[in-house]
Amino acid sequence: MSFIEFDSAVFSWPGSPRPAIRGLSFRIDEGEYVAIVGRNGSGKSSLLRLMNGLRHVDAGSVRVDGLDAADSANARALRSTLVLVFQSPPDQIVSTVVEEDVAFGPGNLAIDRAEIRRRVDEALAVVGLEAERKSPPHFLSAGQQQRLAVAGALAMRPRCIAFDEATAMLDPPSRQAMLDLMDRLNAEGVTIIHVTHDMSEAARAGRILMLDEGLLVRDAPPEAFFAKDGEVLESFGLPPAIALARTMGFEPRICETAGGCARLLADSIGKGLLQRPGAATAGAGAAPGGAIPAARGVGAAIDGAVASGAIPAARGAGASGAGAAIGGAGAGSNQQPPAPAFSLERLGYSYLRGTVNERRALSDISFVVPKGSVVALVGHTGSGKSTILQLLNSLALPSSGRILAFGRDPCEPKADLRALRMRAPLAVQRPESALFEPYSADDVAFGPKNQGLSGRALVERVREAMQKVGLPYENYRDRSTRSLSGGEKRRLALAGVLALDPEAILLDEPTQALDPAGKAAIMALITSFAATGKTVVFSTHSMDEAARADMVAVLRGGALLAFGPPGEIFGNNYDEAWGIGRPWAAQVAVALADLGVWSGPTPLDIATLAARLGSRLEQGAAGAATADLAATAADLAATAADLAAATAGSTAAGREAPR
Amino acid sequence: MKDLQFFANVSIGQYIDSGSFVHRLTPVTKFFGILVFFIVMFANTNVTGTTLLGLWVLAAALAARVNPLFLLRGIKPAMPFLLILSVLTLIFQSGTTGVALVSIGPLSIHLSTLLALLLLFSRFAAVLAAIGLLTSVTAEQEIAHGIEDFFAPLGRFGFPSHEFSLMIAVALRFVPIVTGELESIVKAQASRGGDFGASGINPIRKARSYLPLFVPLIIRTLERAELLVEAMEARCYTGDERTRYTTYEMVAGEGFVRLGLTLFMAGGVVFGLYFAKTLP
Amino acid sequence: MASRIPLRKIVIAGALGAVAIVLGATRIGFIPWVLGPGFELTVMAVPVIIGAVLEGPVVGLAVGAIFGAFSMIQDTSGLFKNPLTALLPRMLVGVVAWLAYLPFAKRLPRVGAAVAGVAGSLTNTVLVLGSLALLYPKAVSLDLAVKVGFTNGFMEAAIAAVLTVAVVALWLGIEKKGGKARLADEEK
Repeated sequence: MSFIEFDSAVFSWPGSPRPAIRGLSFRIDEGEYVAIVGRNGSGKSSLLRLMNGLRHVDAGSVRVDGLDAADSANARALRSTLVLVFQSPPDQIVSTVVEEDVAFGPGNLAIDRAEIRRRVDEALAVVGLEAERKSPPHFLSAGQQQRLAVAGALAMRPRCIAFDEATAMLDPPSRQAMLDLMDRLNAEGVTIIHVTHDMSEAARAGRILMLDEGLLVRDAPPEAFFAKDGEVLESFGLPPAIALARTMGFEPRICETAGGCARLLADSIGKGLLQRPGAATAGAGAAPGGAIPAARGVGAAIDGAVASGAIPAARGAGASGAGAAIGGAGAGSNQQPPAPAFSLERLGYSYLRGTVNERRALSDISFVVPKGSVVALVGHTGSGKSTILQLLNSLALPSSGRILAFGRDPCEPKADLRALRMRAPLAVQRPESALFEPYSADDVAFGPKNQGLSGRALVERVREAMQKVGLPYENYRDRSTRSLSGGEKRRLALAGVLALDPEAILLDEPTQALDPAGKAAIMALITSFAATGKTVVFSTHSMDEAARADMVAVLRGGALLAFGPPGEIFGNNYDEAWGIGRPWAAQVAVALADLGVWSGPTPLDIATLAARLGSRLEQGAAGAATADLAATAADLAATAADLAAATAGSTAAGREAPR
Repeated sequence: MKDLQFFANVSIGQYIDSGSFVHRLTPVTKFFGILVFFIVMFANTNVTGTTLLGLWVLAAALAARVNPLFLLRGIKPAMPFLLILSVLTLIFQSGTTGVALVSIGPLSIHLSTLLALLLLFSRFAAVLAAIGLLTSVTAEQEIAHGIEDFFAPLGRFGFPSHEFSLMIAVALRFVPIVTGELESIVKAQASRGGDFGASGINPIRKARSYLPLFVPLIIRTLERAELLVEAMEARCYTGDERTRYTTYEMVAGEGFVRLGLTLFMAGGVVFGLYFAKTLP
Repeated sequence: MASRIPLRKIVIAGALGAVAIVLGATRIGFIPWVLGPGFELTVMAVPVIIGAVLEGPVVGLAVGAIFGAFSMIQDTSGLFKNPLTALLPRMLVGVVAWLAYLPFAKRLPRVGAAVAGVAGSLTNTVLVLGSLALLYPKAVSLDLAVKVGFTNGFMEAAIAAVLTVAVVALWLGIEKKGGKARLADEEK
């Protein structure tokens, strides 16, 4: 008998015409580490709720540890054997004190109080939250809150923990901490089930199940899982190593770290199977107009960016490949320096100014956003990204220094903030929370109506905006906003911003918690908006997304550490101390450079990297390369482990500070 | 609305831990104290009784090492309203019998009216101080458990004290969540040119200008409540007997405090209903 | 001790209670009006009404109790520092709103929500002013109470009706106008 057994399980959500699970059968043994992947709506979440007895099958059976999961009498036994950790950290915390929240689950089992205390102490120690035990949870960062949720799960002494996209809302260090925690628990014998959209995360598991439309379409260990080709897989966003192998035309292999991949590649280069990149273009990386050190004065910062005829040049050389940068069609071709959309001069901002709780959020920030450019703000949670976006939108006014939006100073007594906000509207994090109209088109119309539009002009504006986000007006006008999927809601909210016909848009983590297809749609939206000569400023935790901007601003603790084109930020000027990481392709190139087989500009995406390595090999050579790669796999594993340890060390150091 | 960062710190009450004896009392005793206060206040409607009650609150504040002036600072924002009320009272109450102090045309101000106003102000000050004192000595996490313990004796008569306290706990848990949602929604709509509380007196138009803020706030709150329900059920909450993590032990001498409160309550009621009738 | 109140109702009551608290604490729930400070229109009774309409009288009662208890702490007008004016009327708001909604619940939920909004809001006005006039007869004359009741009370009732209908319709997914966006009217 297996630990978890699904036998032809069928399940529909109440009121839904289509079953979410259509005859699913599989087994999971105790101690396994299983990843479950699939598109939004493929049945992943339903699956977990069936295991936990929160929902019951309509037909077939689900058994956990021999217990029938559809029998309500088993609910308590079931839920203390297999516990769930959900996606949104704050929405699974019950108490207003950390330790009491951990005690909530065991308290429900009505066990002895002294035993609960023991379990709470132990669980808090495992997740490293002993110091916060008396704090209110809302003072914890999202990463800490999610570890609190794990502590609450551990206090049940479960044999299995199932994570429902539990890393989707975390920043990279918190995410890494959560993944490490899963590894550690699994090593101690806890069965781990991890529902995720991220293929690199899935590749850490011992086995990957893929669901599509309520059916199990693939069930294999990672190597075999990614070995098979298939377009289904590609639409999920492959782990980068697999994507690189595919692009280059050889048999894919799981290598978790960029360093590991670099070893593989270097070996092939050494054997003459791949071309040695660099020599021809060497030195091109030292482009003019370099990353602007934040320490330099206001004047210098502005000069630097206004002299950003340098920007296109830097992009061309630094990013090595036109495909890398998405923005500013206008900015690229024009030699004349464009007028700035925003300029920030020694900008400072404090929350709760003049109270005992005053907290400095930004200090001495100076940079210029040229019209028509795409700027990415990167940095950990609490680094000041959101605050900058709100200052750009005049939702907040600077405590010190000066900000100009399209030449206007929002601090002027006569400044029309409402008009200024609509020229460069901000889509806040999870902007779909603010949808308020029953029907989709009406919500999009809110902004333009506030601008005074009506009649045909209004309809035209709404139609265009909805078209841009891929929700055609004809099909979506009368759709209920509440019936849309998560990704559609996000895009509808962005349509509401685009419908203002703004000169710039500001996006706060626009891709957060979306599935890969949803993320891609948002990035495409940014590209097409910028292609019309408009300005975009967005924040992100993904360096691969940041690498597609014209300029990247690196923030930490409210200070600007660097500002420059991605080719330089992630290339020659990159500083490990920023703690942001680099795009995966850049990591590989840097590792190759360390091995002495790379010179020249740092690639920012996999296509460029592959091109530099001489993409597709002759058929025969490819075979040889594959065989060769397999041979080096063993010592590679060792390297990967080393690197993983190093990464873990560095992320531990930079682990999230409380907000 | 110029700067929209005004939600960053919504707090309930004003807990200040001075570590006094009063702070260390169990929440049940603290709630009993405020109950006694209100009972005595209702029994005493004249100046003498109110003065005695005020002195009692003052003594409690001193025992808790809380500055009484700090408790009364809440009276400042109330002043405009109280003044308007006073003026209206002086005008509307002008026909009553008694000695007129001042007479201006048809209006005359009587001693009895002034006394009534004074009484109103002092009763208000007493209530303000009493509630302020309760929130100063009761930490937020004591509120829900305290309510459960306080109402537990009513359980015998079918009062759902546990459910009630869980609801209070959820409310306190949701205050920062709702505040965050509100802040994000206000910003999102302001960014699209939203303007709340449109001027004018047409109530329907006023209400409509509020929809973009109010509707998503409630909808998101309900959605997040449903998520929490699921998370609580997944953590084995059934409503059956459960073990509470936090319990409160009575401190030495707390029994005497409860006895004293009971005596004060009895004395206050008897005094107000039988002896104070003849006093001003 | 089996639970007599379903968890869902407990949590929703707490969550809506938090909305009432936050609307009060941030002053967002007060709509400025002609009479100036102290006489703002308030929408804080609306979460109570919505709780009653969506989840029944117990939730309405409970949200009202939370709203009332915290208005005692938050209040700066001095009038609600008293359990008789703060607590009881607010608890009854939920019950009355539910009773008003009940006859319409099945067939005309939108109308029911509007009626509940008006009834709940007026209950709040009448009981609060009534208890004030009763408790402070020398300060609040019945005359004044009636005047405030007529002006503020009806404004608040209209606002409550609009907000309640909007939220209830969206949450229950009640279609209107044959399920078409208002924007459709602009196309002509």
